[in-house]
Amino acid sequence: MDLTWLILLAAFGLENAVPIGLAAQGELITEKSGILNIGIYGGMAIPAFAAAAADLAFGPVLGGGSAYMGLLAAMATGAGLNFVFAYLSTKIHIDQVIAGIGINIFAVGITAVFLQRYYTVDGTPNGNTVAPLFSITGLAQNLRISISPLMAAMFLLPILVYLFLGRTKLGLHIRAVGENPKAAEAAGVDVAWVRIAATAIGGMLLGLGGAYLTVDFNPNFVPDYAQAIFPAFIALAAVIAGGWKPGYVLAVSILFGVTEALRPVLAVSSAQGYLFTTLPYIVTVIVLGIASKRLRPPAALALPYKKE
Amino acid sequence: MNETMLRMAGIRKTFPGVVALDGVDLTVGQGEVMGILGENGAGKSTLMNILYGLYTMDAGTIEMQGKKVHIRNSADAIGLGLGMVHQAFTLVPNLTVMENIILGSEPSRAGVVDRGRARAQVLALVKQVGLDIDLDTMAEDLPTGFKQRVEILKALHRGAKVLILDEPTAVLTPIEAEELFKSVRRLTQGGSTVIFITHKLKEVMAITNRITIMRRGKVVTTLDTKDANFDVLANAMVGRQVQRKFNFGPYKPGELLLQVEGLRAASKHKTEALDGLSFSVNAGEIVGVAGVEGNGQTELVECIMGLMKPTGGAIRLGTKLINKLPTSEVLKLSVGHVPEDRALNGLILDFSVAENVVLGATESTDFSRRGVMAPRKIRDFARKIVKLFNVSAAGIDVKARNLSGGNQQKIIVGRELAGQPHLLIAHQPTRGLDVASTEYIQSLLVDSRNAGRGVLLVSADFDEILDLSDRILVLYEGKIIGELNRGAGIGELGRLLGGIAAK
Ligand SMILES: Nc1ncnc2c1ncn2[C@@H]1O[C@H](COP(=O)(O)OP(=O)(O)OP(=O)(O)O)[C@@H](O)[C@H]1O
Ligand SMILES: [Mg+2]
Repeated sequence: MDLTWLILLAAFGLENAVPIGLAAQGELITEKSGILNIGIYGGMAIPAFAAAAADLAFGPVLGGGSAYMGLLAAMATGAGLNFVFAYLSTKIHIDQVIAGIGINIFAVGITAVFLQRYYTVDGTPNGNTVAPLFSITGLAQNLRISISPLMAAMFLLPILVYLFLGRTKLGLHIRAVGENPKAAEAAGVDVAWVRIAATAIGGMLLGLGGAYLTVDFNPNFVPDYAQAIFPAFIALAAVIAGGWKPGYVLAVSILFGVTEALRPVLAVSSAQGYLFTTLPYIVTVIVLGIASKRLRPPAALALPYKKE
Repeated sequence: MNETMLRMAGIRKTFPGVVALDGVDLTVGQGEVMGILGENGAGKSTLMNILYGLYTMDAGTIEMQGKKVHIRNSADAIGLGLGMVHQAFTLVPNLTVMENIILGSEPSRAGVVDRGRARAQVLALVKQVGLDIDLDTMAEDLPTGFKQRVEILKALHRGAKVLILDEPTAVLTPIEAEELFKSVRRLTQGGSTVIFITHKLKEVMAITNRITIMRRGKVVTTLDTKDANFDVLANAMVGRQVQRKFNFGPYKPGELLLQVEGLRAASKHKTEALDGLSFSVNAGEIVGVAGVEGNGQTELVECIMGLMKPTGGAIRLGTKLINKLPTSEVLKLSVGHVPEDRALNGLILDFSVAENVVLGATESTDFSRRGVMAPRKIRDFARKIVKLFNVSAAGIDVKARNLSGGNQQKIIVGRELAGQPHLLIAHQPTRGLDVASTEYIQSLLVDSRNAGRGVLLVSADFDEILDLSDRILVLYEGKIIGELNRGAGIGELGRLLGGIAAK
């Protein structure tokens, strides 16, 4: 029996999972502090194009290395954007949901503009891309699977996030303000700034997830509105389905990525295609439904905190 | 008085519609225990919240050791050596005891928490004040008395020299309270200063050096504890004589109201919480359930009220088996319930006073018709309760959250008693209430009994149990290990509990 399709499914699935997985770890940190970042689409799409722009700008100077400038630019943009978002909601007390929606709408507009500049009409990028870490061959005939550094990051991140939240001072403060901000405040923790920090750190990872869509070597993505919106909102769901636990969130991200790869890999005809296109969404809903029975979200999630 | 540690002068604070503090002066000497007494809503917690930087004052000055200080937030207060244990605990539920204690003052290296050093520090503190506790338990799994220990250790870990305890004993059993007093004495011997808020005059007499009495946002008087006695304090607090005698009619138990047979239930932690419990409550009597908290009281009440499923046995109201009935059905059988944790089960803190007063009573045709509420009637009723129970609130439209702890309690008790239920399950009905309100609510329980209704009184306050109960059931590890009749003394009750503890 030919198992090529299984290998392909794994390879494509993992690729699909990268932007989801990176963004989900970022969103996880943010949500642990009690901030629900609905603006996650904007948080990925805008940095994605910041990455592309930096890549283009540094191309003449750095050559192939310019892609890495893209990654840095994406993380900086993501952090900056989320900083503003968190500042608005914690200091100026703008509703989190409203601010998040605002960022998404802004992103939809700006995406269209950048898309024209960065991609040729037939959908190939003008800039450089991040080189693969290494490649795997020999699994199947003519099949060469390249592993992106960003994919490695996806696997490494949950451990780092776990240690960050569990072992560092800031991590402890983040968990405290997300669970009982009043208690944290009474203990001398500055609730607003901890939340801003958690959101900005989360933004860096959202940015990295976004950059995968534009400057990674994988050309599967043309980060138009439809392509970028999928990983963003699926990441939001992965955080919930993963029960706010880094390892589970990674597992769910991969599950979603693999589901998404079913259609291209099985090369189903367009008649059944619709079913497979909607499959990721159906799986999401089912996973959420099962998970929601025993979920324990941060108690203060999405609740604004205001001092008396 | 010793050298002055803390001086607050002319403190003023208003909330929309209320003057909570109206020019309050408070002076506390180094190394002393200052008691603050005052009826519900007098402004005690507000004053302490200002000192601790949680509220900003409208006017006034604060000096510590003769120097004027500006406290803008609790970080400032902590920096000045102030520590506070709140009336409502402020632990982070999903952090461990140790994480809660070190939160905000973690020993760390390059941003990474130094767990070894943290543990050593905390263990040293535990030893110093004699408050034993397991450091790796999640805060949410702790019984109330232990949560408080965590709070105290937390304040001390921050180097508190002045420790504010806001009604620390309201949630403690007499035995736990005794332990707390020991720790307080140890602390003051070590040079710490303690501000102690309570409604229990006995405690004030036992633990404090000086007492400040507040009423309606003002200081009435400050006196040395040695010059004080019950009547002086009660009068100053309430502005009138408080009597502690109830008019019990003759004891004539009537029809059987509640019968519990071989009741079993599992606790949240899957251990046996109720272990084959049997008793009954008749019309015309108050049956008290005494015991150290955590011996099944919570589960017993929750089983009766349909909030928890028993694993065995039978609960009957009259002759009707109610084991499997949902709470809403139990309530319809003329059962009233004053829950133990007012913030959790008694009130919806973000609803107004008026809305809270009719919670659970909206089924009544008095307040709604075909699902549409009758606002005018609800408001009239709310006003009546507020007046009858002397609730101090800016109005019936303020959120329950903004009421003082004691006033929140009055709303629940008022609401439950207003329906004149045949059977009232009163769990800690006077927790956090001032002397006058305690007396009032207790007298209402006695009135219910005299009028031929039944009361199941579950309380950790042994005086309350002894004063009110016709029969006392002593609960220990989910079993009733003894029964006493009216007239038993605290000695007898203590011996019963003590004998068990010794086993
Ligand atoms: N956040 C708030 N918003 C509005 N009013 C408030 C707020 N906090 C307190 N109050 C009001 O200020 C007054 C004083 O309340 P405070 O909590 O200080 O009383 P207390 O003396 O501690 O009473 P208790 O013994 O019942 O705890 C009360 O009338 C209360 O309703
Ligand atoms: Mg108070």
